[in-house]
Amino acid sequence: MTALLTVDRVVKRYGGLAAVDGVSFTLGAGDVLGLIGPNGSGKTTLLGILAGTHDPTSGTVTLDGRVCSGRGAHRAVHAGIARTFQTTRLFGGWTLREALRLARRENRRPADVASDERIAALLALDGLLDRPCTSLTSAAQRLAMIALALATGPRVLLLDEPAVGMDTAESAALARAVRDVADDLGVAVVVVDHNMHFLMPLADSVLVMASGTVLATGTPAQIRADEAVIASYLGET
Amino acid sequence: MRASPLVRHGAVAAGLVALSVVAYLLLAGVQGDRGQVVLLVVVWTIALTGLNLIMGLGGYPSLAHVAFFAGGAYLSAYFLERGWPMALGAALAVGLTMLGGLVVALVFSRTRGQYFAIGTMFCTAVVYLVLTNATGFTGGPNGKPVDLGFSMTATLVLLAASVGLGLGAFYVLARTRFGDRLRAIREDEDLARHVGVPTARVKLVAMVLSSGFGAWAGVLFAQYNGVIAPSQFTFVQSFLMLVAIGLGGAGRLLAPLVGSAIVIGFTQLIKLGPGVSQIVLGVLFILVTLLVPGGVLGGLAQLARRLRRTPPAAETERSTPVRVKEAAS
Repeated sequence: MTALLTVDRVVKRYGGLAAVDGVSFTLGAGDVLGLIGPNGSGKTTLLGILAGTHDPTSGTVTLDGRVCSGRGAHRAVHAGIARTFQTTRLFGGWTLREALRLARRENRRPADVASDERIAALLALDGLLDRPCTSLTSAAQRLAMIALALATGPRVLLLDEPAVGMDTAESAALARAVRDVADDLGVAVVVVDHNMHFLMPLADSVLVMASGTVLATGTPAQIRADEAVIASYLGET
Repeated sequence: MRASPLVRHGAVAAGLVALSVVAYLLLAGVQGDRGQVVLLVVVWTIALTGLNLIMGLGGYPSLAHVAFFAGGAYLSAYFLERGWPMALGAALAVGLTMLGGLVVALVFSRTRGQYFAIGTMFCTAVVYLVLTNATGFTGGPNGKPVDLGFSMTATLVLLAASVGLGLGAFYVLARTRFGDRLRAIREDEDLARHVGVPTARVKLVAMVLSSGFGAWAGVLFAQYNGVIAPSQFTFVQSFLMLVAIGLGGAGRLLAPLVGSAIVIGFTQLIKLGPGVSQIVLGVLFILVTLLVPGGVLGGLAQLARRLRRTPPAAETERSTPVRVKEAAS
């Protein structure tokens, strides 16, 4: 299988500090990649580079053979990479449907995009489309942010700590929703999270970062058994 | 419950035509000091319709608007002096000012909030200095007379028609994708970029359009008034324009009209002594911002909704932010 997303030796320097220092990996359609690592290991910065939030100092991100890094977030979205944020960000008093409409209209491949109802059903947001985003529960707002990203018709979806602030039931529902998005829409998903009970069952493969570099990659089972990962991040259980 | 869109658009169009007719009757009928008040309200409404795009819909508090207003007035006067036809002079004045708007937008598109306000205020200050000191072109601090390019009747008709047409253009723009994009930028610019809005370009277009409204208002003001002087284009005027949009209800169709009426009314009609009306306006602005963040029109709309007893779910404040700045992990 040829890779949908290819990340090639991506580096991001802030002055003398390399927040991301030569990260490479590939991802196929429908794959879910868990991105873990200690605080400050460069996970969010890497996600930002993939999404066009930051320009890489060097290295490239290639989607389906086309370089899409370093050209700004709106172009990354047009190319097919959408992200969510650690903190909940939505368009204030807009209804979810209004927000989805905006995202949909910015998209140049409208045929690829699931309908509002389909997106809502995937994320268990049925019936909430016409309520102002601010009136949703915080868990629903987290899901609404994913819905907004999906309305851009992404081929790669980047989720930055989606389960933050969710209880066990909510994060389990989120995991199912992410799995459905990957399986039903064929979207490749990168998930950053610290909650291993949420992430490990969900991910097809896991990439562990430490100090801006890749410490280990493998299946969740391999990662759980990796001594370097246990030493630097997971700890003894 | 809601009327069909066609009926609503028709009603708005009819209302704007009626507004233009009323503006014409007032401009032609009211004389003296009061006539001056009518003129200023009309001219400000035209100019502020542009400010309502960038500031009202886009959330960018531009303090450069009076500079564009001055650009239209002075440039059209300059071309008239050279003996150029008025229509050409007016078009050039508006065009060149919009070019200036493009430069301002390019320079300050990377700044936000108060930094954008300070940056654009700086533009107004520079334009004011040029108006006062480039005496060869501008007549210096005392200003200069403006030749009559349009007949008085034509100026009155253009003024009155521009109010309705300008607001009509705003009404249409606010309902297009462009309007949605600007509102998205106001709510959360980073998020807007991450759903695919080319924010830099949208802001640029909004700023250039906005400067066009300001310039056209300046052209008509110079024609009607017959005299232009730097004291009409100070940064205090810029602040008052900002205050007018805030008082009227940023982003709402009639905010320019309501805001202008309040601000011009306070500064021109109620003679509170020099500086005092500005202080009163300042206090009023603070009170409105604190108590009715949606401005007069926003407050009225909220009141109307409460009277109709719409379910509260449907009327959450549009301006309520739901996010905190993202912290790096």
